[in-house]
Amino acid sequence: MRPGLGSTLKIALGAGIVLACALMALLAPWLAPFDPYDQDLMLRLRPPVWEDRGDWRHPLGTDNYGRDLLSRLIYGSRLSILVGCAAMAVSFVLGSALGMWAGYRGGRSEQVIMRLADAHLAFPEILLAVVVVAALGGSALNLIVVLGVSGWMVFARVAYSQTRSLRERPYVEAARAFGAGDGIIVWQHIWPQLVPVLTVLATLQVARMILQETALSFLGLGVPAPAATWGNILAEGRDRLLVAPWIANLAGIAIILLVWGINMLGNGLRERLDPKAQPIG
Amino acid sequence: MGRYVLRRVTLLPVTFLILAFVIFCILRLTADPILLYLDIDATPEAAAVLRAELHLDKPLAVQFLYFLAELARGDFGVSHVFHQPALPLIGQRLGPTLMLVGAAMAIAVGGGILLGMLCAVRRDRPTDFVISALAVVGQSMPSFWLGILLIQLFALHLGWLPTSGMGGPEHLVLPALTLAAIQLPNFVLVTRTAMLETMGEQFVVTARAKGLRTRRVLFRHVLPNAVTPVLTLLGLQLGLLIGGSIVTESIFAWPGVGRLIISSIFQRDVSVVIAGVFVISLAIMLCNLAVDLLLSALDPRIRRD
Repeated sequence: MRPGLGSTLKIALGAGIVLACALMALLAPWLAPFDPYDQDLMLRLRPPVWEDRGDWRHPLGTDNYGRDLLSRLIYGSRLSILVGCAAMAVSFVLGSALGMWAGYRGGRSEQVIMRLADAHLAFPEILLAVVVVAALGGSALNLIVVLGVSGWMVFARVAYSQTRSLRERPYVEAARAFGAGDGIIVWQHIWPQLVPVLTVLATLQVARMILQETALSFLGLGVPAPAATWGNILAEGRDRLLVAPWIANLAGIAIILLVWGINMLGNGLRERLDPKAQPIG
Repeated sequence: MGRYVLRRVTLLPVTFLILAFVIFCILRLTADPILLYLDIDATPEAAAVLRAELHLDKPLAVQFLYFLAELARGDFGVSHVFHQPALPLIGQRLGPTLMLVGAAMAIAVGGGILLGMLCAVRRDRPTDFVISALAVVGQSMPSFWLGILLIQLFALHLGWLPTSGMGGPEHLVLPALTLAAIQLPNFVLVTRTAMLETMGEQFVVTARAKGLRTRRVLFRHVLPNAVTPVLTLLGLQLGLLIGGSIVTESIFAWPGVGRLIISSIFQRDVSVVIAGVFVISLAIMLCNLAVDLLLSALDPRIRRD
């Protein structure tokens, strides 16, 4: 019926890419042939091995300061993945807690929280990032907080609508009739039902967060240079497009591969969970 | 209708107050705000004078009221780079940004609806498969890399278009395409779904049974009924589009609000940054209001809440 790959293939392919990237980040010190910050001004802007002047010493070439690009890309995956996952965790906790609260309580808290979520949804993350970096400067921690806080409403809306429909189910009524308190009902009867949906959402959100992180780093609003992040490498590559286009392009390929892998995994999981779901990917 | 409009319009000042509060908190509570405005080697006396001038010696609640009053007067302070009030500086840059966002929106919505319709009509055939697959890859594409790829192809290799800056209409092509490309896949996929759903409805079967030509059925019966989800998406994506213009303007050195904000951050010109963020936020709020009112006029079901 739907165009695209079967969910099993999507999950396998996506998980393979994600796993490979995670291993690369974890094993960076052993995988990278050079220190990503080691400059060698005699070997500036070396092309990758498939071009005429390239050699196997620097398989992907070097950047403007003679730093090995392969090593910088390998180390760059660390910050991108770390920031993406940590920011997702922040918005996951914040969003599901508020969403469940709004859905379970109803009334005024529902009004306030969900109106806030709707209003926030209209504002792009980058505005908050701009204000925070202007006031506090850029750092990995600031980036995690900004992206985490900017993503809460995505989780809140899903947690809210699910909780609201679960609240009316007979087994929840039964639990209440048996004298279970609100805490027990939410924790034992509602939360476990939310886990699968929220897991899928969390996977897709990591991809979004990584894209946001690289975009902010690219603008210079992320972790400041000389830190090796994919966004920073791409930004440095932009200034050398004429002489060394491979720097920007290899960083771009790294980003799109990981983000595409995560999206594939998330969409495969979603189709597995709800076969009627429209494929977004 | 009247009640819906009233309720929707009163939401605007509330959103604005929340926005002002959040920015106030970030500016005043995270660090000593004096540091944002003074050099590191300023004397304590100068700091005290500035503190009194900015009302920073008053309680926080009073400071917030002063902050609101300044906002209401459009007084964001003076840029220490340009030695001019911050708001007019942003106002001068608004034109290029609106031009860029408008062009990108037209490409994203127009192209998205056309491609989405094409997918729906050619459902499960190669055309549908290729466009849908491209749309999915497009969703994983970082816009700044797409911009850089376009620069390499059309500006550096082929030499057809300029790499950056603003001038004739040829300068607008690459930035507008880059900005539109972030949103285009979403419009394609949403249009495709909405069209497919509507094409299964009874009134479409009736129209076909009456013997109307396919084109007439598609454009007069299916499209108007499938347009609500597309407009809803537009409302949601407008903010992202306007936010994305900050990135696009930085790639292409487009002299709009976004680029001014980014360069002001690096020059520690906080008043310009804050003025820019407020202007962009206000634009997003007004656009969303417009889309919501348009939607409620087109689709009466929305007014019942």
